[in-house]
Amino acid sequence: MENLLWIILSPLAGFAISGLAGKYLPKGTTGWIASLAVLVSFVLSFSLFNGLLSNPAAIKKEYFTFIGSGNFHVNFALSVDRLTAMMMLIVTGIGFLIHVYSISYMHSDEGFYKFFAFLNLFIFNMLILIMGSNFLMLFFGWEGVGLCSYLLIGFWYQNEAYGKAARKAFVMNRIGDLGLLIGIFLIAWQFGSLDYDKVLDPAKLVAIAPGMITAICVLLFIGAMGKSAQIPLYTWLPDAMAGPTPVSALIHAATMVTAGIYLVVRTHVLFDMSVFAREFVLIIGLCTSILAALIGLKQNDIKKVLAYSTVSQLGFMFIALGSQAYVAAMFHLTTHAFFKALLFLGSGSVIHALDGEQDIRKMGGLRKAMPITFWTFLLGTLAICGFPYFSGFFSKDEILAEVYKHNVVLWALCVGSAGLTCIYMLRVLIVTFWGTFRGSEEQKHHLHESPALITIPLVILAVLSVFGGILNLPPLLSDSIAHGMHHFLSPALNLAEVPEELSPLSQLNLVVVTVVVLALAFWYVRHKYIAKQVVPETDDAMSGMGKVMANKFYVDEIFDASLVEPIEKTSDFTYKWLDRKWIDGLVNSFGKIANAMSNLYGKMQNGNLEYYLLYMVAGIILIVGYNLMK
Amino acid sequence: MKSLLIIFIGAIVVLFTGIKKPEKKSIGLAIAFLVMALALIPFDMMGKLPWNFEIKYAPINMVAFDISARAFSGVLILGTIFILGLFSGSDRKGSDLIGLVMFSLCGAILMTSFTNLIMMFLGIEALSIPLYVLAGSKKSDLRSNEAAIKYFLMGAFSTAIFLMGCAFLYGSSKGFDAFSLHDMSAFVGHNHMSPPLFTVGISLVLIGLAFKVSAFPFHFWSPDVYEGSPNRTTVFMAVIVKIAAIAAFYRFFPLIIGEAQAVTWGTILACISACTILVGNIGALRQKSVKRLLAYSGIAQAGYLLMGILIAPEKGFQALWIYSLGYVSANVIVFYLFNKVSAGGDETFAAFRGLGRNNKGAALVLCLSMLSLAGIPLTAGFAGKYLLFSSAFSDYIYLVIIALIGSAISIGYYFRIFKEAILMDGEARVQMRIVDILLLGLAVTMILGVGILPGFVIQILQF
Amino acid sequence: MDLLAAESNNPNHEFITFAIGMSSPVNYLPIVIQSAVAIGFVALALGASHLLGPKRKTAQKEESFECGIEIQGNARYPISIKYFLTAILFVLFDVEIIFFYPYAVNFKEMGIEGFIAVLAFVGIFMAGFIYVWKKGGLEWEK
Repeated sequence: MENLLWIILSPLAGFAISGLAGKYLPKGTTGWIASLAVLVSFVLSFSLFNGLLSNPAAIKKEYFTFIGSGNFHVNFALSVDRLTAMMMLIVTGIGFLIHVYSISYMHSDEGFYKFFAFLNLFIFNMLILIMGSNFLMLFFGWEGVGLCSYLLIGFWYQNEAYGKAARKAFVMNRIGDLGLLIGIFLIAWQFGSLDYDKVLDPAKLVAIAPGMITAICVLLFIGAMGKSAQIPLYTWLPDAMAGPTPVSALIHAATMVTAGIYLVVRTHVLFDMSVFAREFVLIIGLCTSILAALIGLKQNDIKKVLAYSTVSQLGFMFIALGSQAYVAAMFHLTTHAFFKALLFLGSGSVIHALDGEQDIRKMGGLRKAMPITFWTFLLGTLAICGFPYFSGFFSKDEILAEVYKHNVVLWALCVGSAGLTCIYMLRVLIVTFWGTFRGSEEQKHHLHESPALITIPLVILAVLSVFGGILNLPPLLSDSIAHGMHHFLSPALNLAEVPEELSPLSQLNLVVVTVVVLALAFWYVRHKYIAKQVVPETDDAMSGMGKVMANKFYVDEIFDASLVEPIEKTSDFTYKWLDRKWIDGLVNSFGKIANAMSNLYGKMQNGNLEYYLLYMVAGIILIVGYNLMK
Repeated sequence: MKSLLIIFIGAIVVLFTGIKKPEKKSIGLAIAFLVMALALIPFDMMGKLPWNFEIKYAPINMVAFDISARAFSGVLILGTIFILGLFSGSDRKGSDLIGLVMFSLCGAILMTSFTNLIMMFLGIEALSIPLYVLAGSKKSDLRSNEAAIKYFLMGAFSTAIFLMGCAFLYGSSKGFDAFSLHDMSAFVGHNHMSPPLFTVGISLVLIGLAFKVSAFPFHFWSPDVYEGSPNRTTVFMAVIVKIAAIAAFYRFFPLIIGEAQAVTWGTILACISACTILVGNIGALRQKSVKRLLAYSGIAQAGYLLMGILIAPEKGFQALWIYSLGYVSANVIVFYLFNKVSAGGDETFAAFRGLGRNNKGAALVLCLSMLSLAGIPLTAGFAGKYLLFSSAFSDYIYLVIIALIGSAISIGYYFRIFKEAILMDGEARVQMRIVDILLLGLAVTMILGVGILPGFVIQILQF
Repeated sequence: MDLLAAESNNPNHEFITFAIGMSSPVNYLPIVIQSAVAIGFVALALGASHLLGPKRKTAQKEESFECGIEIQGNARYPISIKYFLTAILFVLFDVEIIFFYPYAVNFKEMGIEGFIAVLAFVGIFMAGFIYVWKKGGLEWEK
């Protein structure tokens, strides 16, 4: 199956072409070449996926040895099982739509070719991340997507704030990566291998100390925290909205940020062994989900709301992972990729129409001017809110059901979080599209529906968001095609063929409760924003809890005060006293010693042959003498 | 064997064509022969992997082109192609010099492939004698003459010692061939004894080879000789002689008499390696002349290379090969750029000033090769050092610590060149021909390729 | 020598005895004694004559030669390099002839293979000779 290699080489070639030759090609050509590269990957992935539908055996291919040292070998090897195939479809499929979207969205940008080169590079790295058959490949892709994310967040690098946002994302991710790296080191130390086959072998795990497994799990999860924006490493994601909107859609909503989920699902055998690690994941996920939803309530930047919503939804997925509902997490990952990409692209369409305006207080009434954007955005919102029979309804419900099995209190909190989601998303929808236009006259004059290259991906994604739930229907609804995804993934994840079920009655109860909560949320929003036509107040007018929430609970400020400043102070102190005075002094003294020895030695090397021969003879006598005396 | 013959015949042809014609044409011819020889290497006599020495060839043939011989010959021929291609016109004109270079290369290849002490001796002599002439090939330059005389006198001295060692070995094991030596060493090693004749013989042979790699305390010639010789000869000595001598070291010590390592030569060689690393790096710190600096850097590198002799043959071979690939390409690049910028006569660091401003590409390539020599990750130098250090770590931990200290010191002087080239303003400028760019590109590819995918490169050896 | 006893039924017995015999520094004792006697005798004789003999120094006695002819110039007189060149060429061909002798003795045994080898040897030599010739190495006046 040489296809495997072509799947990753195609975007790499696209990167090379658009990066090297893009400057000289017309813009459209570059964009289409880049999109084509991803399309090729998508088509190949799809054929692979088809093959896996009938035969669940993973496809493996080893190419060459990365590192070989004694018994320790790490190969450049790809392996595709059903889990990977699903991720590949999401990455390349949504990736392709977003490429196409970007051709229109970025058409007037000067760095057009650079943008596509980075996007292609991102796809390449993301594919390496998910297709690699060992932790080193994963780490390679992990760092690669981090780099691309950095490059794309800071794409408009002339703006200093954007540059800082990119740097923040990078640093935050590095903290997580450190955890991941240490985790990988521990794995290499404990298992003597980095291959998934050898590490994730339940028979082998028995021999490892439980504490060690917990440590490895927690460290891996710290890596996932960074990449998937969980407490406390989530603050970079909202700032990452500095990048162009397609980037936010592709990297910071649909694919890269789900790498953490993928990592945990991939290594779920380890997590299955450690209760502590699972609880840790669960708590972090829950806290993140609620906190981000609360912050989202009061944000007025359309992309920031979506960003906090992403953080919150990722928290949801981690909740699922913490309660060992891996399929539910993957299901939500998939549907989330559909509707969040849709929402981001829709918001991009709005921003595009308003010439860069992102503040929802200056929008309003766009319903008529941009019908396609409006309708698709509406569908996306309903999907994320979990409106019955939309994709989000099924995926979120499944998670809620799993949490319910786990713990009722947690379940209640999750339902609350889902309700909050509903409120802030509807708020954005209504403030943006209903009411009267609040922007400037000039903007009003220019208001237009976006071109076809933008709307077609929107429509496709909208269809997927609405019907995505079919992938994994609950048996309550239909027996024949129920648990599609569960059946598909179970061989790759070593799960039971038929999942454990709650009784139909309690399932129904859960659904009803959820729907009631959602209905309440609908009613609240309707009451506040449609009936009363409330427009969010200006920054100065906020007070009390609202202000705290609008300021993101001051988490950034807390970070500054609790971490950055002490670190800076300590660093200042260590720099002046410890480093300059002692360590530098010590190091310099080594340098001085070396230099003095060099001078001394220079006297031996005096250019006289006689002396050289003398030294040689001395050496010979020493060597021969030593050997004879021994 | 085929490639050796091609080079030998090529050398004679080049000599004759050069009677009337100018040097330029004969360089092309010489390179053509070398490329042909390089292409023939895979078709040379096949041998099994050498780490269980193939005794069956030893009594019959005096040379055997097994995998290690072919691998090192490949590096040597490639290095000579670099040298002849990049340094045309830096020396006195005359195709006799090119012929001498090729004859010398023949000796180097013999040193990689001998199975008999006589062949090793012939290789060393065939390598050295043309070099004595090449070192003095700038006839009107006093320094060049001094270098030639110094090299000749000390070389003759070391050869005498080497030959004395061969005589002792013959006396102890009743033969010059690898078979008898191997047998004797196995006997000595298994019984933990050290018959004086054998021990003294090994010590003297070790000293003779240590002179060629310029290991402490037999390295004193190298800074003086490197400085005085014409640039092309200097780089030939720095690259080809060192790698050939290391290949001979590898063939003689771990492969032929490896079983006597613990009782006879292991400790001595470890001490020599450690001292060489320290002396090379410390000596380099205060140098003002770039050529002397590179001589000391070469001494230090020889110290690292000697570590490859001490470790298990298979790992040692891979590590040495990877290391020598990086060593050859990085040194060739540095010497080439130095040759270009020092055309005005300034041979100190100042010659590099302004390179970063005037020739960004050249400065970048220079930095890359410096990084490789200093052993910074993702370069071939790092891959080689990593392999050497990690394999030596279990048995020779002190040696590895000293080597790490040495590497740390080395960053100091490599980055001095860096600093001069990038940060200082000056007039350094490099005009490259297309051929130069191609060859430099190949060298850069080798540094990066080996650095990024060492495992892949090692797999080439399996063919 | 326990080792010798232990290894006595080894088929490679002779080799081992040989190697062990070599391994004892005691075997070198006669050589050491002889060297000591030789060096001692020379030192004794020279030292005694130096100490015991009378010493008279005159200007004439310090001169290099005492055959009655005045010394002219320096002994280290540069000789033309052509002499050396010719001498070296002579030595080379001299050595070639030396190699011919054992070949001539074994002419029949070595057969065609030996003939080819010697032919190659002579061929390389001739090539070198022709090169020197063409290059003008044999021209005395130039």
